Amino acid sequence: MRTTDVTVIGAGPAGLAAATECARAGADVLLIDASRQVGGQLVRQTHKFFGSSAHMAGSRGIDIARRLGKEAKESGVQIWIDSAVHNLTPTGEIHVVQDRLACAEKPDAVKTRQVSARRIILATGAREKSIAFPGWTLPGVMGAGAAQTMINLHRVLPGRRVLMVGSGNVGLIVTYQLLQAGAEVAAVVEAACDIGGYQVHAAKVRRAGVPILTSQAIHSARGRREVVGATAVELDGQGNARPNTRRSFSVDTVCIAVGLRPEIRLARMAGCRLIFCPPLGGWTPIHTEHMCVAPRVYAAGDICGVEEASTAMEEGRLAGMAASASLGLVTDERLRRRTGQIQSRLQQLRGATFSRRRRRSKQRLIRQGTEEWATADWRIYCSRRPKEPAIPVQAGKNSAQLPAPAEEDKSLRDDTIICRCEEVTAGEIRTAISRGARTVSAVKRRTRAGMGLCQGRTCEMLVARLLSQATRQPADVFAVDHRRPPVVPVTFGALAGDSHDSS
Amino acid sequence: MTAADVLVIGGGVIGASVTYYLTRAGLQVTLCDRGDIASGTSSACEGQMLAVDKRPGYDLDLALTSQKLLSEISGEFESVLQYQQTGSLLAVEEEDLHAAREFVTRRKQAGLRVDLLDAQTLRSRVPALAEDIAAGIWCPSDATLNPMALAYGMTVTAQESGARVLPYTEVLSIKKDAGGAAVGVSTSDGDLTADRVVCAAGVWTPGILQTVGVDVPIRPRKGHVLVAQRGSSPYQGAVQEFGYQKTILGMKRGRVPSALKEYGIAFVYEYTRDGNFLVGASRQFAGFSREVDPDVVRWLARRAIRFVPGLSDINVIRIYTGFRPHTPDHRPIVSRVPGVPGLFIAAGHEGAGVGLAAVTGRLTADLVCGRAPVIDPEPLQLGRFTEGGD
Repeated sequence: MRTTDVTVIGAGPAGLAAATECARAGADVLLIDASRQVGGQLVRQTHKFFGSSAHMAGSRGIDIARRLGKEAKESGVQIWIDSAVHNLTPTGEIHVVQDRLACAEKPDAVKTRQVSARRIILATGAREKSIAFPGWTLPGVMGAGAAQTMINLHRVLPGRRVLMVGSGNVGLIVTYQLLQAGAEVAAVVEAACDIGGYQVHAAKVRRAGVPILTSQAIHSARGRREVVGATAVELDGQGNARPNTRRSFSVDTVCIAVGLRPEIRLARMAGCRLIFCPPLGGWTPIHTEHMCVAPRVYAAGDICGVEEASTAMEEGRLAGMAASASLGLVTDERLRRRTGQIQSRLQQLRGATFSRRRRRSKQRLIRQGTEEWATADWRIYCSRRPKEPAIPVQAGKNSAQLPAPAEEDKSLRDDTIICRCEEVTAGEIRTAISRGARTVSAVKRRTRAGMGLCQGRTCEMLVARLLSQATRQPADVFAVDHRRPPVVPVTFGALAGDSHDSS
Repeated sequence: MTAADVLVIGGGVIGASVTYYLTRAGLQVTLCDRGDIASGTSSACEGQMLAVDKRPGYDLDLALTSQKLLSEISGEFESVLQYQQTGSLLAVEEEDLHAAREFVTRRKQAGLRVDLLDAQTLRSRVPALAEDIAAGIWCPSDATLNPMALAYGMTVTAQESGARVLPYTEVLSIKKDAGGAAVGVSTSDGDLTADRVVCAAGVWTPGILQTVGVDVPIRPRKGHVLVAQRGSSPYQGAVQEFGYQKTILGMKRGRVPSALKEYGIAFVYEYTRDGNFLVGASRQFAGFSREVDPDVVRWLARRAIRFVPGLSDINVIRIYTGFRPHTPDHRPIVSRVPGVPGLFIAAGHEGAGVGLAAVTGRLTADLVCGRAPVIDPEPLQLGRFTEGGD
C-alpha cells in the first residue's frame, strides 16, 4: 500500500494545478490518471485559448497540458498514468488498476495498487451527455469528443461529411477542427432557439460556410450498416417536432455535442452531498469556498460544475492550498491571502465569460456547502451510504424550478434503442415505468438497461428522461450515478490482486 | 381504508408467489412493497433452483415440489423467466472425494438423478475447470432463472387476474382488532384493511412482526456477487464448489485460507441467459450494511480463479451485495403466527428463496385458504423456534 499526504485523482488542468500546489507546499503528492498522458481534455485542444495572460491565453491546449505536466513533475509530484481508480472505500483507501491500456492484449499483466491518502482531491472532470434517436447506435454516430480525439490526437478523419448536433463550445470548436482536418460539415443543428457557445466560435464556423440551424433537432440517422444520412426536424417552443419540417442531410457521420455533465461517480463513493444545477451540467457536489466536499476530501474543476480550463486550474489551486493547509503545511494567514487572490481571479473569469445563471449556481453550491459544513447535516451525508434519491412523486423544492431539457425531439419512437449495451428499447422502458418502476435502478432491474459494459454511463440520462416524461418530473432528478465499485471494469485477476497488493 | 381478502407484505420472489397463488385461489389480494417489485434480496441474489444441495428427506422433497410447481405454471407468465434447465455441477476437490461419494449415494437413495463424474469426464464436459479438480457431482434436473423476472412475471399475472399491487408503499405496522386478530396494516400511504395478512418481507420480517409483539429469528446474512462482462462466459451452466454446502450449514471446512472461513466464501458460478455470468458467494453476518468490502471481493476473486483459472482475464463490471434471510435451522418459515389469528409468515429462505418460491407461495395459499397443503407444513412452523413448540 502506497501512503501519501495527498492523492489527486484526474490529471486535467484542475488536478495538475492542485497537485503542483500541494507539492510546492511540501506535501507528498500522488497524481493518478486513467489515460496515457496528463492534461485531460487539454491534450486534444489544438486551438489557442483566449482570456487573460494569467491563464495562458494565446496558448494551445496541448501546450498548456505540457507546461502544467512539467510544473507538476518539477515540483515533486509523483504521477501514475494509465491508472484507473476502480474503488474508493469509506475509509479513504483508493484502489487503482494499472496498465489497462498498455496491456490491452494481455490482461493478466494488469496490476492493481492500493493507495491510502490523508487527503483526496477529486478532479475527475466531466463526460459527454447522450441523446437517443432512431439510428443513433449506427457506426458513424459518435460523441464530438471522440471525433476530436480522432482528428487531433490520432490524426484519423472520422468521416467525410458530418452533421454536428449541438452548438455549444464543444460543438462549434469541433466543427471548425473537422473542417481544418479536411472534413465537410453539412450543418450544426441546435435544439434551443439560441446558439449555445461563444459568438466568436460561431462566427468562425459561419464564415467557413457552415449553417447553424437553431430550433432544430436531430430526428434520425439512416443507414443499414453505417450512417448514410441524417434527418433534422424543426421544434416548437415546447420541444415538439413541427409537422412537415423534416430536412434530410447526406452525411456519413453524426457528431453529438449536447453538453457535458460532471463525472461524479467517485464523489458519490466518497459520500459527497450532491445537488442538481442545470447551468453547471447536472448533479454536482456542494463544496466550501476551499473546495472541500467531504471530510478530508476536496474537489476541483468540472466535477464541481462544468466550466472552463482556466477556472478548473484556479479551483485546483484552491483545493491544493486548502488540503495543504489542513495538513499543517500552509499557515492560516497564507491560506487566507492565497484564497482571496484566487477567488478574485475566479470572480473575474466568471464575470467575463459566464452567464449570471452559472455564476449564481456556483455561489449557491458554495453557500450550501459552507452552511452544511458548519452543521451536523454534513456528517449524515458522509455516513457511507447516501440513500437512493427519493422518488419524486411530488415535485421537490429543487426540481420545481428546473426547465425540462430541450435537446431533442421529444417524440421518441418505442423501437428506438436506449441502452446500447443490452439493447433495451424505449418501449420496453416505458412498459417498466407503467408497471411501477420509479427510479433509474428500478428500470434497470426490470429491463437490464444500464447493466452492460458501459455501466450505464451512456443510457442512465436517457432512462431518466423517459422517467421524466412519464412522471412529469425534470429528467435529471432521476439520474444520480450509482456508487458501487468497480467504477471501471476490472478483471478477476486484478481484483484478486495476488502478487501486487503489497507494493 | 381499502378492503382486501388478503394483504401481502413484500414484493420479492416470495411475496410475488404468495400473491400469485392466492389470486389463483380466487381471493382478492393486495401486495405492498416499500420499493418497486423485486427491489430487495430478489434483485441482489443469484438465480439457481437447486435440488442437489438439499438434505435428502423433507428439504429435498420441498425443493423438488417447488421445481415441479414452477414447471407447471411458468408458461403462464408473460415475462420471460429466462428459465434454463442447464443442470448443476458441484466441483469436488481431492480432500472431499470421500464425502462427495457419500453425498451422491444418499441422494441416489432418495431418488434424485445425480452422478459422480470422474476427473476425466468432468474435464471433457467443463474444460474451463482447474486441472486438479478431482470430481464433479452432476444433477441434470437443476435449473436457473432470473429472480427479478420471476417476481415481475408472477405479479403481472396476478394483477391481470385482479390483484392490486402497491409499490412504494411501506408497511409501518400490522393492525389488530380488539380480539387480537390481524385486520390490516398501516402504511406510509394510509391504512389498508384485510381479513388476513401475510408477511413475506424476507430479512425485514422481524421488524414488521415486532409491531405485534412477535419475535421471528431471521437475521440478514450478507452476500457479495460479482457480475462479469457479457460474452465472456467460460461455461454455460451452474457450478458450485462442493465445499459450499459446508459454508451454508456452518460445517468445518478443510484446509482453506482463514479469510474464506471468516467471510463464508465458496465458489459459485452461474451463467445467465443474458450471456454474462455471476460469481459468488460470501455469507456474513454484518447487519444491514450493503457496503462492498474490497477484501471479501479479493478473496471471492481468488477463490473463483482457483476453480476456473481462465477467469483471471475476464472483466467484472458490477458488484452487488444482498441480504439472505437466515434462520437458525436453515429452513424457511411458512406458518400461521401463533397468537395472532389471521396473520401468516412466509420468509426466511436464506439462499434458497428463488428455488422455493413456488412451493412457498402454494403452501401459504393452502394455509390461508384452509385447504389440504401441497406438502406437510409442520417442519416450517414458526413455533419450532420457541421451546417445546406451540
